[in-house]
Amino acid sequence: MLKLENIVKKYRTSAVETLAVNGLSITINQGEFVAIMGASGCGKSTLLNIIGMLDNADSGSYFLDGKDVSSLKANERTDVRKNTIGFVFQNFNLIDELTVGENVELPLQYLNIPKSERKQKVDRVLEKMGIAHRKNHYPSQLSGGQQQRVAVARAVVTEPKLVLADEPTGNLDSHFGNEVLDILKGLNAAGTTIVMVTHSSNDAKVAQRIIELRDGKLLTERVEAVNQL
Amino acid sequence: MLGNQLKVLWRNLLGNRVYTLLNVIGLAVGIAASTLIGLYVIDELSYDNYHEKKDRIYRLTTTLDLGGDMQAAVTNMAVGPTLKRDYPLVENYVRFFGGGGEVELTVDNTVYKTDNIRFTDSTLFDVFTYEFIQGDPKDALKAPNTVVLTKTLALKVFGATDVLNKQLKMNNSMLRVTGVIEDVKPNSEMQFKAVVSMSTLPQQTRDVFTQDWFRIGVFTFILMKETIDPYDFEDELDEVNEKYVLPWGQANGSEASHDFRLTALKDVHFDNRHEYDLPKGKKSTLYIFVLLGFFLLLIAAFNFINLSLAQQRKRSKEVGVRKTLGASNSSIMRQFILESCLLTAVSMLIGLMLTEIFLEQFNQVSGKYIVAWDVFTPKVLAIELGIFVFIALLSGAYPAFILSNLKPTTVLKGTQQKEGSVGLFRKLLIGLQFLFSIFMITGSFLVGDQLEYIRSKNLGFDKENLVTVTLPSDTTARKNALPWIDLLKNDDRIKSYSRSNLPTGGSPEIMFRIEDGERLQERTVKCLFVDEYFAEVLGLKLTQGRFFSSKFPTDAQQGFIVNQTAVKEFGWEDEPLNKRVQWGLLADNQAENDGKVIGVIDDFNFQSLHNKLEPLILLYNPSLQGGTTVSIRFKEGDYTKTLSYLEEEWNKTVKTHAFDLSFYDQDIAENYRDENKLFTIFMFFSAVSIILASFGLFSILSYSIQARSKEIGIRKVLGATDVQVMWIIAKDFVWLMIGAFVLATPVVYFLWSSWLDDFAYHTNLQIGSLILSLLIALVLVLITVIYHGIKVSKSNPIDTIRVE
Repeated sequence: MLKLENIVKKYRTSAVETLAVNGLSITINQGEFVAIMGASGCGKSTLLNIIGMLDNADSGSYFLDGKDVSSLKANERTDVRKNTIGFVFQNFNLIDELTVGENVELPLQYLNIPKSERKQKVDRVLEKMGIAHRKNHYPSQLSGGQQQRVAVARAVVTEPKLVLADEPTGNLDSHFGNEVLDILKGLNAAGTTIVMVTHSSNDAKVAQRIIELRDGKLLTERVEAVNQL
Repeated sequence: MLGNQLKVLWRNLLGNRVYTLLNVIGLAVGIAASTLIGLYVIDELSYDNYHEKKDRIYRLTTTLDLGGDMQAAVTNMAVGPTLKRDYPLVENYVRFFGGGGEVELTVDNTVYKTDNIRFTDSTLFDVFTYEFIQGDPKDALKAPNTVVLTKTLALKVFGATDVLNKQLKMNNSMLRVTGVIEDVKPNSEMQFKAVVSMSTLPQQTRDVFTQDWFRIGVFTFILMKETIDPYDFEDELDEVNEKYVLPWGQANGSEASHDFRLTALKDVHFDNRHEYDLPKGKKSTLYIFVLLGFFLLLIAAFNFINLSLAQQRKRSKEVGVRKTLGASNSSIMRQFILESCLLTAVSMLIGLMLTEIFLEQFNQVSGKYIVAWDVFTPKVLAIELGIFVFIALLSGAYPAFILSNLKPTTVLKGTQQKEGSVGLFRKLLIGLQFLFSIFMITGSFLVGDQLEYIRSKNLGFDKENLVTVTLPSDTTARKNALPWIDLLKNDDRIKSYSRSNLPTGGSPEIMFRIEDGERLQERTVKCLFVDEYFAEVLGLKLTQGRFFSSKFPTDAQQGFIVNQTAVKEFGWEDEPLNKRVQWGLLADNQAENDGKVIGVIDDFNFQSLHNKLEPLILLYNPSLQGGTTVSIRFKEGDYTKTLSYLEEEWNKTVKTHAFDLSFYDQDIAENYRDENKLFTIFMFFSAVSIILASFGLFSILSYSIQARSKEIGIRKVLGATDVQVMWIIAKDFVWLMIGAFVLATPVVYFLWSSWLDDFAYHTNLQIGSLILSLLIALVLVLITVIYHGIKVSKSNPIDTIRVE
């Protein structure tokens, strides 16, 4: 599905230079559920942003679906992103002024999908996430768990091959957190590749493979046997 | 996608409805105010541009050298026809004679008082464009004793406009109506209510004004065959002086000369250099108005732009999400520009509605006649479109550019962004608003100070308890008024009265010969014809010699009284008394009146304070058959009853003419109508600008506090007091204000000084006014800060920290 080779990403300020990702190489296969772990500042989110093409690496190669995407222009990256990748964030990042339905519909609009089809897809995914009855509510009227379900619904409504989740349970209590993990597991079972950044080793257990980073480098990589079954 | 973007816009606006409303209304008010000012400026700049041949019409003026240059807006009667006869480039000419004073029109034994009736040539309608309702422009003024009326005057005296060939009496002459035209447009220099054919004037008058090259009194306009640069015609004009004026002067014992000049019609309205001219527009006032309109618009626009920028923080998350989900930079740019276009369009519509609503009041204050339709002329619409593009682009493009370049990875993490250049830009805008506000507040103070200065300035005579009654110009009626004048003698409520020719707005100027060492020097000097009571009634102070007296009958021919300025200018400081003066000049140093200075009076402002004090000669006319004015000084106390009595008596004695009374102080105030107008407009728009700037400050402070809520929360947790919190909020704005004040001071000084220079006597820019302006602006900041500060102090700090 995706292959990173010798990825380097530095952040510079006038005083210091921080090496966020330091020559990292990983491969993630189609249909895998991978968790990325590590202490704060180890480069997890930077790596996820590079995978999601929200950020560019300073050097190294990135192949997505066999195609080199590391040197694409901004517009081309946007095109690849909106057709291939869905995002789930720790703080949900729903647009407050749009209803649940409108938030979920948004990525479909950017894909220029006709209105009737959009409606069907939105209804279907909301139903699947168990929040169809909240379609006309605004995010502020929902609980954190419900908001994250909406965020997940929005991430998968375009049926992307890859879903990137940045600490998706970080702002949720364990009950809602588990619900979201279950949803992600279900998606993965249906064939979607999932890359999840998390602090929680418990959450990481739902993944088939756990990559642990330290100082922007790969520290360990282990396969969760349970999830191989 | 558009629908989705509009939804977000609409809900965003509703979510911030107070600020949205403040800013949309603020921008609308700014647009309305600047549109009104723009209409005023356009009107001032459009004087006489409706004449079809406007590009070929020029006004002829002269600098008359009579032992001292005098620039005059009027010429003698001969120069127009001479130019047409001698120079093929000159296609035609038209002259206007008289017209300033009041005349009596009699129709069917009813007397109507009116003014602004001018004698003019039959070529008037060939040179200028007037719309005829009745009559034929080619022949209308050819015959003697013919008159063309404007519609309003025709309706006033006849009650109809189809009045061709009807008769009316003007003072003592019968006139036949040969035309009725639409009223002269208000933005025209040559205003008149009726024009009478020049051939109606008595032959003797025409001869005097035609033959004597120095008897000036007509406005002359020249129609050229093509548009020319007035400078290119100077040689021809100089030739007229050499060929006709100088020889005539030599033949009549005068060394005087003319320096004729042309002014293009489009430049006449602001050509303030001449004496004997009609009221003119002031460029300095116009510049101030342009600046005022521009500042008002900028203040409102800056509010609007600041609102967009302040919302940027809030909107950045939306932009981050949109970009993550596939929105391109250009679609984000489009979204924000569309939003600002929509909001600007709404404000503009409200603004134009406000313009229409307040047009009538604005006309009253400004003295203009702008109509609702003027707002929709191509010129105004083009300006509005310019304003629209300017505000929509500035308020949309900058945030659009900043937001579309945001990195979603940064905003979506919830990391607060540093305000950086956006914050600086916003502060710059607020600083500029303060600067404009200080300029306008100071301006209001200054115009007010100047008006107060004029009102309280010692004019050199006592204007309290002083009234003037204008006598009828009809000789029979004036004779009828004599018994009424006798009543004044015996009324013990009246302290004194005097008859004179004393116009408050100006004074006639005639040619004198005055003693200059061994010789007599010709020069024009302002003069007044007065009786022996004049000094006493006006309260003038005699510094040397004596005033006119009936005991010295020779005073009428041989006695002259001069003011202090005359003493200085004529070089008579050593001994002014008994200096020789002549008027009614004849050849070989002979004159009809030849005599000596018998007294010197203190200077008094016989004109408005726009003019510097000038030399003045008082002439004694005990009979004053031509005296048009009776000045009456009442004893201290309430004189309203006496006035009612005088009016009753007048109505009994002079049956045909109404009692025409005016108060000296009001007459003088009338001279400052322009300044009063400027003051009222300035006060009003300054208030608007301050309110708008406060709106802006209110919104910006609110957003600023939102953005810094975490910082404020932490400070409060750590023990900051409410006052300390308020200072944190206020600090930047107070410094901005002081910076704006420092920058505004030289601008204020330069611009307002040039306005003050228009006055011969003026106040100076007071440092107190400047500081007061700063204090007013500071108080506004503090009120806004305290309002927000109280809200912050009531909030629980931990909430703000948690939210972050």
